[in-house]
Amino acid sequence: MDNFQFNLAFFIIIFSIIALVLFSVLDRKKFLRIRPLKALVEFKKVFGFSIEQGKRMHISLGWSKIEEAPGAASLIALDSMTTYSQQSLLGDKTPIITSGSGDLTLLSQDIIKKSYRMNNAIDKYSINRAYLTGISPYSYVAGGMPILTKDIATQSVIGHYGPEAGLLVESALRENIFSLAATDSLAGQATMFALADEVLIGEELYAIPPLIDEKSVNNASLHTQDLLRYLAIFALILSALLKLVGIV
Amino acid sequence: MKSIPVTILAILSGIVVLAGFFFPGTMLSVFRIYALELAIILAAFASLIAIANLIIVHWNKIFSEPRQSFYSAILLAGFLCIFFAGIIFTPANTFFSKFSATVIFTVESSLLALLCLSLAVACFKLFQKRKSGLAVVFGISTIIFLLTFSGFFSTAIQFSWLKPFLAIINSLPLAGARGILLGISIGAIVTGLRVLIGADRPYSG
Repeated sequence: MDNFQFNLAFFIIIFSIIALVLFSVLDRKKFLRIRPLKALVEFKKVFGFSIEQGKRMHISLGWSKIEEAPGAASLIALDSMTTYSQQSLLGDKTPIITSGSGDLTLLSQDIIKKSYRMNNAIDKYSINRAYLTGISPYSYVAGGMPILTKDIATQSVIGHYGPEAGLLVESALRENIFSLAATDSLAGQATMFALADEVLIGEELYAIPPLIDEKSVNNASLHTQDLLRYLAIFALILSALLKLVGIV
Repeated sequence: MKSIPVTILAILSGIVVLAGFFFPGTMLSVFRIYALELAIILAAFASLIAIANLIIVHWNKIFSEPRQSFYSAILLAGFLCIFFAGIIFTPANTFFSKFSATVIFTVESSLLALLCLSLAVACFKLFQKRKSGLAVVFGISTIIFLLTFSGFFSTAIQFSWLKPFLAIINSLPLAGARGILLGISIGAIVTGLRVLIGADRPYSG
């Protein structure tokens, strides 16, 4: 990394922390509006019906390790898992959670246990419903496919996936299971767009926490991302214009 | 209350690792290297625990759901076969590495072929599923890029007017990918910082 990149990275981190804290403090009454995403609205409806019908949900967390670069997508997957598993407690059947890395498996079990304990439903926790299905992308998907039976009505495929996740979504289609897909990989997004019932494209993945759990810190996170995005757009246009007039 | 020390530990180690990155050649950067090595060792142990958990889950399935336990039995048999072969021959053995790689590559290739077929069928059904402008753009761009990347236009390159048009078309996926990746990286930075300031805690403590 050269000096410019080093300073830019430092600026982005400091700026983001300040914006995140400021938005969290200022937006306690949630005056900053968030545009709803159609995919999440539709998924919420189907998920509600599935709880009423007494059916299960399959939550797929992806196969990226937390300490690797795509770990942010896994954090979003864990965040959405917490909310969906809490909502599932309204029904008779708890969700099945699958992951493709050891650390993600242990974290998901830990979060689920805490969430059930807080909702006085620790008796519903079972080690057989939060587990690793495989440690390589294809073994992970192959291990997840037999889970998709008639007992399951909805599936969230949120996290880091490549095109192999298409097999998971396609298996769900054959069993009439409604799938919501969101990933940070470009190849994965293209595959999901063709196969999944509802799909989130690009940075919409990072809008999931504020849209399913309206906490001020989640809202602040989304507004900070928007602010950084505006800055990036402004910088790109400015640098293009400067190059056009021959200054840079 | 129970999670406060864990949260403090997580935030402190995150700050020190980040500071070690920005201040190379200091004690912080030395600590950063040790912390990352520790994290990798912990992740390896987590994988071992998760694999043991996987075996227990499938073992339980064989007895609790005997009618649906066919795949579980195959998984256990395959696991035990590779596990004991690895112990007997050691992972450095040529026979063992070729044997396991052949099984993995064969199965993965079959799955990839299956995915190709599924995607081809899904592309034909796309307009039934998505009745929006985005689906039209997706469909048109798929046809255009299939044509441009097939090499069809390279034979018709004597038409000089086609060259700038093709250059613009070919730069579109790159521009789109950069836009999406920029958005994703901004999202990833903010998500990471949420953990760093303790707003997001993916652990119970």
